[in-house]
Amino acid sequence: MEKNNNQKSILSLKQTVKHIVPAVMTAIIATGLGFMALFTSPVPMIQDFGKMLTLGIFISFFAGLFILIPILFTRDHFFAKESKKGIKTGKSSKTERLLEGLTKKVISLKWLVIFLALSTAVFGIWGDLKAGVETDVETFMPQDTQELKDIHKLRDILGTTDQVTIMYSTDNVLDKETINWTDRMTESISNEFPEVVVETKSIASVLEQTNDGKIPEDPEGIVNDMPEDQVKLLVNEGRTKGVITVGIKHLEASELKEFIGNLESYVEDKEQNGIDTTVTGKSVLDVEMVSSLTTGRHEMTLLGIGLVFIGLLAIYRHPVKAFIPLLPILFIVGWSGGIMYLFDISYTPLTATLGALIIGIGTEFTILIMERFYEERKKGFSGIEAIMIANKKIGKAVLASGLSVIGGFSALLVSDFVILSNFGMMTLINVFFSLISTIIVMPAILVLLDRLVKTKTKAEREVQTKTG
Amino acid sequence: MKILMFLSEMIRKNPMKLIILSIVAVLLFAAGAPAMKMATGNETLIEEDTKAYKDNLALEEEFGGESILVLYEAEKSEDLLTIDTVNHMAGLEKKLGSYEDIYTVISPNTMINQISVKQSEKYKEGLDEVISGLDKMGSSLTDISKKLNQNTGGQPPGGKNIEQNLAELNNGLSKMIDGQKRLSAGTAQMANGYAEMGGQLHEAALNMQKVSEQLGKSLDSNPQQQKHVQQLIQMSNQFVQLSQKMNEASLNGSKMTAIPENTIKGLNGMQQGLNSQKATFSELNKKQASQLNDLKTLSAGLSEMGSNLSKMSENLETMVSYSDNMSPGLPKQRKTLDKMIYEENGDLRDLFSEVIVDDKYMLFIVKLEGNVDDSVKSEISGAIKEYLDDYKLEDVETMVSGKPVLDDAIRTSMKESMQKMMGLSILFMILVLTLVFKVRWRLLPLVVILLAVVATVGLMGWLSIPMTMVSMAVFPILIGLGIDYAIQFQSRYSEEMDTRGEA
Repeated sequence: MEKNNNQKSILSLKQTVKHIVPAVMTAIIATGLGFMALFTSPVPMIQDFGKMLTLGIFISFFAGLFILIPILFTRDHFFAKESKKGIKTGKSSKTERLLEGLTKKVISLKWLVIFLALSTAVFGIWGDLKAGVETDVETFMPQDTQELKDIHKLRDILGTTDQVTIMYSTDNVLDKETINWTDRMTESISNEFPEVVVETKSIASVLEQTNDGKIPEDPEGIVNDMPEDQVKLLVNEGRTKGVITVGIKHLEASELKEFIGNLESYVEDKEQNGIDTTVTGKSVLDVEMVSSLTTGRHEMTLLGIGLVFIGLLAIYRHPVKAFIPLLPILFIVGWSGGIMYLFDISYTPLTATLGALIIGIGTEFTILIMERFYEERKKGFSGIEAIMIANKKIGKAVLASGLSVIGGFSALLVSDFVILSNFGMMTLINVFFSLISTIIVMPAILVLLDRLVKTKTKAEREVQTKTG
Repeated sequence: MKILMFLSEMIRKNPMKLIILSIVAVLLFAAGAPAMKMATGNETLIEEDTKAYKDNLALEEEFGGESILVLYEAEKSEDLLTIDTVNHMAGLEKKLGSYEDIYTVISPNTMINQISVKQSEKYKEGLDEVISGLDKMGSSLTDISKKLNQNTGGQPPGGKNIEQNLAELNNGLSKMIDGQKRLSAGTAQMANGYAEMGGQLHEAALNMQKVSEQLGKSLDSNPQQQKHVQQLIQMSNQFVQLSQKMNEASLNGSKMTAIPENTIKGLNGMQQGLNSQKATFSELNKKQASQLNDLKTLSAGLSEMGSNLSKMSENLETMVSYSDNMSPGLPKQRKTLDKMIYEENGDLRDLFSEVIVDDKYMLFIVKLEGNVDDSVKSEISGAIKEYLDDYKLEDVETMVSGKPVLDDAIRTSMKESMQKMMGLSILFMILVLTLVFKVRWRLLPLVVILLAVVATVGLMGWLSIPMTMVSMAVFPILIGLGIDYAIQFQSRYSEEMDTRGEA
């Protein structure tokens, strides 16, 4: 009995390592390649996110391989006296029958399915191009935080919420010419942008304030007499750099971007010989991040898809086989964008990573179905028979996997951080789309594109032409 | 597929060793976890080598970084800027003095300090002028007396010299007037200094009075000289009055600026008197011969007066050198304070417009140095909160805000949120596994994944990848994805075991 048990566990171990380890490894490589697209983001925190995810899934893989499997083996090989029976494998469950019926329907309507999937995805991508981006950190965090309420109150009181700074440098910022230039700039900016600018301040305006609205004859002397604490906010110690602070109203990301662009060209226009100007400050950083997010997002998704394609091409050595798992992913990306557009959800730094995540998670499902499909095809089954088997067997597994992923992700929903709960919602929707895409769209794609993949027997081709 | 064969052989031969080694590896990774940082700053939003980042860095290095703001809010405007609140702010500033990463503090309190420093500088200048004026007057009077003495000795009249000396006396008085003007500009709360000066002046004036009376007695024969004496007495009386007013002023800060003005008036009167004396002295010169005797007495009197004035100047100088008496400080009286913060027409001085809003709110702004570590920001905002909790004001509400405070709150809730998500993730996974995963030891994948998560966090510490608002989402995703792989392994293994069991 014990010897039998030992034999059994060794065989099971060998089979497990031989079959599932390569499959999971392929899925992890595809997922990792998808995540690797995150590295190219110009936003550092998204790069860090990508690094962490990639590290995490590889560590998970090795933990499974070197901890989980040895533990199971040890359990059965050395300790188990009796082998209990686990699941009854022969039972054809409700799920299986349901999947069977569903697959039949899908195959008979395959053109409609593809048309619907494609048109909704195209609509989604169109909408996605219009989706806004939210970068205001304050909208991400728990909204009932006292500190957040405090800062809003403070803003109501002060009137101006954000600041843009024009930093200028020259040999001596206190010489007559520069002071006059500073004065002109300080005053004209408020007049030039009356809707945005609340107040401006510079060493020139402070000098005027203390001198009945006129620039004094000897600005240098007066500035030297002023308290250092006041001066150092506007002019540096070496008197080579100065700032004009521009207090502005709280603006939408796109409006802010426009304003800063206008301000930059205005300042450049009025730049004087010998005076260098730079428009900077936290708001400028924010705008920079918005641009990074809006432009980088689509590139990231495309790059992810490209990377996975190259990876799969290297593994399968067949362009169509490498392309098939990606087609449903493209649909999901489109649908996901459509949802964002329909429900008017703005992208955050986190949801901007959704494309890469969808690729990572979705390919695992589609690869599993496809592999099983070609396994059955090689056994000599027709395309339709193969897809029926694949969807019935793997569909069940994919459902279980999907459920576990949903289980993990749903924890995001309860986060106090708006950015995380929104992201959780979107990932759940996307995992749901992945399931739909894998179980409903993938069979249609496989059946339609089967003719492009060389298979063993001619008989299969005949079956194909009859149905397709 | 050699690798796979090798793998399964390795697991078959040394399963225990492999488990232990893997767990040791996990622990080694995990040791890096304490080094993991929470990052919310600019470096998480934008790459450090971009122009925008560098510009902002240059700005922060030169002109300071983010600001923490303390808001003081009062229902009634008269409760807002009071001695109490100013002292409260001074205390807060003192507490923050030990932090090196503070670029500057901007608050009504620092502004009042600025004003008072300026005032004290002006005041000292004024006193110095008064001192030198008194000194000049003293030595001039002594000289006059000397000359007069020589004249009484039968020498030819030195009227010209006396006139010159009188001119210098006049000059001294002018200096004193100038000095008083400066005092007037600088006066606000130098009560102590003013009181002492008043005392000194009083003493000197009494001496002068005495001298004048003496002079009057000795010169009673000549009505014209009597007139001069009267003028001198008047002068000394003015000094007495002046000193009294100065004393009063020191007691009542609000009248301070009026007082030097009165002093100036008094001194101007004295100067006029002196000018008429000058004229008289010229006349005196003519009658000199007949009045030698009288002049002797006058000279003695003037000499005493001169030495008195010199003494007074010396005393004042010592007084000024003990600068403690008039070191700038926060006003102790409401009226002095009002004088500093309001213009004469009752409007708030422009200087304060930055820190006082709508007469209801007052700001205490702590501007940090550029590129300050998150932990320092947390420490400073924590110190401010602690101070505000420890010292509460009666009619004024306080609140700390600003980006560093908000970021600090974000970091705190990030930690809380992560713990909550981890907990829930685990709970959900237990549920999913129990319901969906029908094998023995069905919770094993969860245990393995938790080890993997711990190792990942540790590795992030080792590689110094910070935890950002975005990467918080990693844990649920990792648990969700990772468990998927573990399930695949275990389910396949169980399937193999079962099929073999049935066979």
